Amino acid sequence: MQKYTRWSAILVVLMLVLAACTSDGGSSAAPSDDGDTASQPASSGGGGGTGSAADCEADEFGCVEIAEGDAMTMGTLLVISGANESLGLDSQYGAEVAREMRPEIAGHTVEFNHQDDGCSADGGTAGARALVSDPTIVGVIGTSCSSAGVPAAEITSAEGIVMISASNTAPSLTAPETHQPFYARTAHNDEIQGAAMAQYVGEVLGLTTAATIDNGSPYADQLANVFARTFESEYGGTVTAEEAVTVGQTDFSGVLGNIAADSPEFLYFPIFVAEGALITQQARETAGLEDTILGGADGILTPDWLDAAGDAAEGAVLSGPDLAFSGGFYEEEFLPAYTEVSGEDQPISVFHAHAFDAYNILADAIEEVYFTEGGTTYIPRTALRDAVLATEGHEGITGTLTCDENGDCADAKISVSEVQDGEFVRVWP
Amino acid sequence: MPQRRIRLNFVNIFLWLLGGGLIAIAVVGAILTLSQGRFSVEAFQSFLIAGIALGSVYALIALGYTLVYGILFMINFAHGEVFMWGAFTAFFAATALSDIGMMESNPILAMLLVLLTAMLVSMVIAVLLERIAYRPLRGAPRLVPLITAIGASLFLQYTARGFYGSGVRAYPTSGLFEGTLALGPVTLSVKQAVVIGAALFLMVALYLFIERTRTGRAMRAVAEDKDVAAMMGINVDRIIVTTFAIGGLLAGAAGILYIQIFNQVHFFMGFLPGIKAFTAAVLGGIGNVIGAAIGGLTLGILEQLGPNLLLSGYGIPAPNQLKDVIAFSVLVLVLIFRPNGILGRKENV
Amino acid sequence: MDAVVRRGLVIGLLAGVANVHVSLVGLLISLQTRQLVAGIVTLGSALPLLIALLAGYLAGRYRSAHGEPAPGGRILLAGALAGLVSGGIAALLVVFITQVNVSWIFVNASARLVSGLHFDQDMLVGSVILVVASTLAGLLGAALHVLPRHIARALSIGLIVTLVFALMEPFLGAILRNLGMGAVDRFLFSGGGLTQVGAVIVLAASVAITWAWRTRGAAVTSRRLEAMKPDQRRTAKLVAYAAIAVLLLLLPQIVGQRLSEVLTVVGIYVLLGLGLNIVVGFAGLLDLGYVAFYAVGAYTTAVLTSPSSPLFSPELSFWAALPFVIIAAALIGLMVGTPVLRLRGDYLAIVTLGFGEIARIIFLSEWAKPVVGGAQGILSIPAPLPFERDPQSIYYPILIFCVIAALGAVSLANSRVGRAWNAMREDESVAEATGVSTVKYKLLAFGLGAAFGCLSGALFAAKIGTIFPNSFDILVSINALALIILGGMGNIFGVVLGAAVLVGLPELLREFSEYRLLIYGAVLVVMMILRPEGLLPSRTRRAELHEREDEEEQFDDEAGVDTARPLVST
Repeated sequence: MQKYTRWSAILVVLMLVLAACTSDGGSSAAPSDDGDTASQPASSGGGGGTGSAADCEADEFGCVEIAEGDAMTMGTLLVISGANESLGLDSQYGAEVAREMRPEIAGHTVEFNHQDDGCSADGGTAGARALVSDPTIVGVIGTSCSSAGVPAAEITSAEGIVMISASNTAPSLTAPETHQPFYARTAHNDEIQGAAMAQYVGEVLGLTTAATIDNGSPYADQLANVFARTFESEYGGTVTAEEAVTVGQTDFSGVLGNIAADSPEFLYFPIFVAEGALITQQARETAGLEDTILGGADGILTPDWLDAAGDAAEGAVLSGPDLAFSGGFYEEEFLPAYTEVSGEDQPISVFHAHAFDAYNILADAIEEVYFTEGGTTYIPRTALRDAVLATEGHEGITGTLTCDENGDCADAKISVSEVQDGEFVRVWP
Repeated sequence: MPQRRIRLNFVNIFLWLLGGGLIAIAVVGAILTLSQGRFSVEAFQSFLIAGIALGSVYALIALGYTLVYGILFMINFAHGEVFMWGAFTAFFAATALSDIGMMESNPILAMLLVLLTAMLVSMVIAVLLERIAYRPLRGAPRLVPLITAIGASLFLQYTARGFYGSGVRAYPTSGLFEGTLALGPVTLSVKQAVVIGAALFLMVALYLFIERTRTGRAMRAVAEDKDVAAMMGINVDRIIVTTFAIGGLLAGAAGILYIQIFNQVHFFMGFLPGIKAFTAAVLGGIGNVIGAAIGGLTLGILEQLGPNLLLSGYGIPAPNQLKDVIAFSVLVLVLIFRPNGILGRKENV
Repeated sequence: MDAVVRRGLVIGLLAGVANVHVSLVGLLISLQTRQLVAGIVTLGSALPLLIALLAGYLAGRYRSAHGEPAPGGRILLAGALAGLVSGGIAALLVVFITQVNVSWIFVNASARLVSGLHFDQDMLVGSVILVVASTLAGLLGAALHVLPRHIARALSIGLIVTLVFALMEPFLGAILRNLGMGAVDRFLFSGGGLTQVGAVIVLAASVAITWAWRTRGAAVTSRRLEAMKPDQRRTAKLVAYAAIAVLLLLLPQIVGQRLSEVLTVVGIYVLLGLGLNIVVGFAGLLDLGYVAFYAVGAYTTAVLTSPSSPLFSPELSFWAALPFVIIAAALIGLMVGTPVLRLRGDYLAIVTLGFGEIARIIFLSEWAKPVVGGAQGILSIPAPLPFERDPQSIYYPILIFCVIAALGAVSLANSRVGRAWNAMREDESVAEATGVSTVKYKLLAFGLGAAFGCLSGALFAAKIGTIFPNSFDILVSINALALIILGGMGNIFGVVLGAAVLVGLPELLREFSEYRLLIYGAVLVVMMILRPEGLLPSRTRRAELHEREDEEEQFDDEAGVDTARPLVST
């Protein structure tokens, strides 16, 4: 008995001290100054904005401060490892090309802090946490995958860090009810891509039955859904099955067998490389799907998928952003620079230009709102967000971009490509 | 074992309810699915064949688990990685051979070469595993070798990841096993026929080896009682190494058959098949060679047929995502009523 | 060839294989980014030398059949030989990967690997440096056996401490900066390692301290301890406990933001380990699916507290949700526990593993998506007020639960229940015969284990704010199992130490993060071979393990029975 009283006494003391600790624990957590910024010579401030240090106090999330001569840090949160790395690396190269061409923003050189979004919700969470823990991050280019984008947008928005995605396409990210205030994107909304695919299948190919497979990610789930609803309502088609698989799965014969029971004419699986390639191969071997046309979207519009799927990919149709309109600058200046930065002859995926545009929109917005005082550059965070969302008529590679209040900036053009002799050939429009 | 007093009333009732409930769900599901008439007879046939093909791969891996367990009473948790290394070796061998054009000019010889290298590498890894990780631990409490096995499994897995990268690599299709085959009313792809045939051949060969050869008899003797076997002049260490080597060979072969079906290799690919094969071994009665084969086939068929037959009738969205739930539920169910697996002897309880 | 030299050759060969392994697996390249001593050597380049040093040391540890060490000259020869062979194999590897194109197989066989192994010199100079430096390192390793004992010990401890200091730069540097000693930090550390001055200071200080301690300090301290009266000793003990308590309370303030984050992760795993320790360590039921409890706790909390949980969101506070978490724990404990009551050993392991997988698959599935969100998981889980999500604040509720759980586990172990578990673990049939209701105590173990696991999961959800099915894979179970085994089963401090080593260290050593599971696997294997009782074993368990070594191997005739060797021994 005595033993218990002693322990409980210790426990009580512990909790008391604890309560005392936590009450001041929160306020003392301010990041300590390194001391490097103290001895800068005072210089009269310039800059696009007309702010003063008081504005930083007024801004809900304060300002990013960059000492004279220091580099500005921009975060990227893209999928740069694993089966879908070509999607993220492609965007990363696009952003690096943009930096090559515009090395200074507001008088500071730009440094990247690259994080991996893992193309999953958990990867996006971890990456976003890593970025928001760095107080010098001005803005983030990312994420690659919508599944990572949903939690990442929530985390960055809570810290007042603006995030522009080059390849998130899930509609919910910019839907009025679910849009996070500091989120914008230069990629198309899948309301458009899904509808375009439905139009191609229903009108151009003239098919009447289709089945869909998604992988539980918001991207695949919503895109498959938009496709199915549009295909049914606009083109009078019948959706025979809406199946789902899980990331990491390798055996799809059960799913495909279930779908084959209705022998749909079109099978739409807007998912990613690893599972997409296996489904392509296994669908070809499933009785009842021999004549079914296979279709995917920009998640597998990459040479990696072609390699992985092999001969089975022949004849598949994929939707994606249309870069055919991009014109002279893209062909003559962007692509050579891309090759130089990446060491690849050809772009390895389709969202490099969107990342290029995202970088420039962010840069324009920074130059619009920053001001300097005593040599230090200040960038108010909320004002930066407002400037990004107010972007109008930005002439980028992907078109003329204008952002709406929910962060949709894309000048979306969708094309459909078909795999012919192991290559993507643009077939529509 | 003395008869236990019947004190498990509450537990027994719970278990019977659980078992009965699961069986009822399955039966009702099957009736619902069949009454909807969604699947044709051919569809069921193809599920069944795909299940047998997958199940024979599981069975080959499961044999490795079961052989080792039979002799050492330890779970060789790293066996799935031995399988993965076999698959990777097969992948590199096949890529090299198709680069020099042998895959096209002499496909059968090329396939045999691939088979040989993969099986050899798997065997070497299995033997090294025994020598380095397990032999120093003979006689330790059973948790110790299990933890070692988990450690070895992680080590092999992430060594493969470091060596070969984290991406998925596509296996070059040889064109050798294309097309379909009609056996009476049943049609199956040549690939499936090859996988089933090869697995069957290996299993029969193993059975004959264990039953008919001197080494096989020595293995059985060691499994019965190590000390007596040692007194009879059997070199126990050698027999244990042989057992690991045979398990490795079979896992290597399973690796090749697996990539014939799925056409890709990945450093994590050994994990799930390893767990499944282990489940199959337990399902069939661990330590029992025929049990492993039966367990493997049961599991493979359940995986393919289960979701579509038992769950799709309920209108559950994406029933195939739940195939492993079915597999593990059946394991629980079988062990509730036969605690030592399908072929485990009853007095073992 | 005599045995000493042969030993040198064999160990050199093995070290060479280790060199090839760390090179091809990419560890060497990724450690190139970390300075060991700034401007002199990176951690990556030092790796082959460290391997050669170890090889030399091991080669010199020769004992003849009569337990006699070899003469000094031969020891040095063996060490040098081991270093030479190990470095030579690394040099051959470089030749091989520059001459033969193997980069399509080995992704790391690149120019960066070559320059890393060659200290950024060209082919010839680089390989000569590599081989000579390795030989010298091997010689040094062997010399530790030849030098007088005091010097050798001081030297080896000095080297190890210096290496640890350099490796721990992220940790020590962060503490120094957080305590406002940025100047000390800049003086000692640079580029993720020690500065040149810092390296000399640390080496000299650790050698000197070791020397002083070995020659005088140790004896003085133990004399003083012996001179204490019993009540003085008790006071000293109490003071020590109080000091630990105060330290635990102030820890987040001392170590700063980032390390507090690591502390919270460790704390959550301590809680998991304590729970699993009840199931495996006390009751002897091998559970490989412990993650199921963790997941259920996290998801129960998330669904009840998060405003964005899909179907059902009462938006309770963390504390209001806690009773429901406990109820969920009891239910899931019974659900997992009952079907496995009559299973033993390996059957139990696979079935529990199955339950773990079932939990993850269901949380991931489209079927359960309306309730738990599928692959997208559940976002915006609130922090347990009044504590905030900030790691320095959330540390405290985690600490409270860990302390409560630890006290609970200690008193359980010493209670009637603990003795019943003991009996059950040793021999179930005997326990049953002596009137211990195994059904009751097994279910109790599962229930308590589930409660700890669920609590841990609830804290995890509240700490991280967003949960996804992929956070609940089998690695969590393996982590938890490995940490109680590494720490020493049945010992609360062992669990804490195990969690700190297995979960905390990898979080700190970022460059290793990609290789953490690789190293982890190797550590588990080596640990089980060299020290199966764990780092801090409970006394009885250790005694039993060593007594067991002398025992004759025993096997029962049939699988599954095997009662002669309990699954776990204490």
